Amino acid sequence: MIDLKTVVCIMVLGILMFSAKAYADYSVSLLLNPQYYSYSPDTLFDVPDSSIEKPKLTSEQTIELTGGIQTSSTTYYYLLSTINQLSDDGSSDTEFNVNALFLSHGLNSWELTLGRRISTWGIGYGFRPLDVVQQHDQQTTSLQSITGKNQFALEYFSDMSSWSLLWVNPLQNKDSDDNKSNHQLESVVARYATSRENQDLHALLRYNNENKVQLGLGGIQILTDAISAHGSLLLSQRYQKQIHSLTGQNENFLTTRNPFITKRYNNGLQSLIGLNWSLLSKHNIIMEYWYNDMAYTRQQWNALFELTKAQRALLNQGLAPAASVHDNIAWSASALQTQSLAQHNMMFRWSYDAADWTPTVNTLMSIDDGSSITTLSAIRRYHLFKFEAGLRTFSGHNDTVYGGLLLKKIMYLTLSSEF
Amino acid sequence: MYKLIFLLTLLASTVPHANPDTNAAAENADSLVKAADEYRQTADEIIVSTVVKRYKHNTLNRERRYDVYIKPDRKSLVISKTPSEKGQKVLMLDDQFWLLLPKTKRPIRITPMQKLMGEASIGDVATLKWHEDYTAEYTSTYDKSKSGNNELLLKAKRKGATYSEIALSLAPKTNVPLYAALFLASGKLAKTAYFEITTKNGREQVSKMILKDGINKNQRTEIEYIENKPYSLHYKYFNPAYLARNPSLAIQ
Repeated sequence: MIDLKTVVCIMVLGILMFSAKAYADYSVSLLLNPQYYSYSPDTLFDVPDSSIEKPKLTSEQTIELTGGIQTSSTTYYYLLSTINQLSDDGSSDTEFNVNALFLSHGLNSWELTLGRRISTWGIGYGFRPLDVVQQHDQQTTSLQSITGKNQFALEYFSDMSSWSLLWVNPLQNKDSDDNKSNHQLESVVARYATSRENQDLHALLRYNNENKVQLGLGGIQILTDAISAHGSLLLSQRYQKQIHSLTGQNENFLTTRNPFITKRYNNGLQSLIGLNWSLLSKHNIIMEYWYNDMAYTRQQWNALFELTKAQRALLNQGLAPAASVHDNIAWSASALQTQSLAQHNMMFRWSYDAADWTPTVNTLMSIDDGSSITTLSAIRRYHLFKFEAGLRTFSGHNDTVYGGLLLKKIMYLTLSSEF
Repeated sequence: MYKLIFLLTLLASTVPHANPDTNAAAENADSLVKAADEYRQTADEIIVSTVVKRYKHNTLNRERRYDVYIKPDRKSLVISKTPSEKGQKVLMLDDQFWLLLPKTKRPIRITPMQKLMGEASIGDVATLKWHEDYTAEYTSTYDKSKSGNNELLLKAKRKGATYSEIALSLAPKTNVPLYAALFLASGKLAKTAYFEITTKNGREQVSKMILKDGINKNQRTEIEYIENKPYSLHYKYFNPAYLARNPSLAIQ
């Protein structure tokens, strides 16, 4: 059943397509992404579906429209999308996104940009500390474009360098900063990038009310014809974590409202080093290690696991209403919804670039507890179409970050095409 | 008498290496490669529109379209025009390479080896001047070679060169490129290139380069040069940081 919202979205896309055709370049991409999920009944966070939804089959259908008008000095650019989500419980949801919409004016080597723009600068494959304006979930299996950030940017391009000054999320209400994620905050960012014979270097400075000053450095060094090394580092004067207020005590294990509170820390570090090795035989290997202060420490995870065990014990002993315990466990499980789960991480990725298809193996391991995510996938290209099939498995004991997840396996297919 | 002198002079100019001095021979070999390059790159700053067709068992397997913007000093920007790869860009500055995949919205510095990966060897599409990347020497002058052509051996003088060695055959006098064997650093024959010439705008130009795969014998790639015209693209487009600007837009 197509609702009114869907019809409006399709109409807007259609109008834009035809108006764009008259004046400039555009392209349309289609994405179909069905996924099958398998859950573990052994995890500490297993609760009935009424507390945490556990769909077995979902499918996302996305239409993205990209285009713009470009003159010698001015560019108008847009990236719009409609995403329809279907689930095996019969639910359907359609949303319309303005992923990017900006106007950019160039004067010699200067560029002035106003509007919503996707700004990702990070160096790295598994994690990108320098993506301070916005971060793309590097572990996602979705190919959807991310949504940019509203910004006012002044940039200068010299021969091999660039300077940028960005005012991101301008004119926001600062009273509600507590409820915003790091990338929703109003901030000012200065960035410098330069390329030399065998290296690219990046430096940035960011200021906002929550993090105060953040300093980032990164670079890529071409070591040989086949090997490059990369690294990045972000120092934050202040950072936050959502901490469960009932952890670290033995008196009260249940609450009736969201127990997570924002806790602030000083001097945060996010860093990454990696190697990229490409062989003439078209094999490619990437290895990375990264550290992230913003993720839970092993002690913080243990405290959450112990709390969940205590909550489960109340249930087993019949000392508390089941619904209340399940809701509390569901709250605890929400700590696993963040992008960065482990502080010490190791990633290994192998791919083979055959003529028509690309098999890939990707393993992400939490060094703290030995749990891991392994993804096997293969991409096949056929004329305008690209097919991807993949299997992702989560391994580890039930008191580890990846072994503790409700999900055990994801099978996914992606069909994409661009016109 | 004058006719005899003219013929002797002509013979001397077209057979310069009957007893060549080594440096002079190398210099002449290089100048021949430079002359041959002008059949592919007709001006210092140009835009070349190409269609790359890959055949498997003589059946068209894939077709890709690229616009290649070339500036002096070995600067080239390859923009994919194929819908499925729209917005993909490869920037080559000397021996340095960057790749922009439209979804990532950020340029990635890549190694020379990574440049060889992907759909087609971007080096084949973006490099139209071999004399900038290779030093040449004669293996045989046309009067002594069995083929009747000038046979040259090109050796890479830059680490970013796509091939380690090229055995190039040029037509005598005109220096029209005829065919070339392209070797990898391992010594393996990667491809054999054949050139087709047509006359456009009153001058002879390479209209197609046919690359027969030396490893997968049943594959061949044809690079068709659809349009080749002088064009000066603003230098900021050759700044790696500028690659991510307007990722899906054509350059106007």
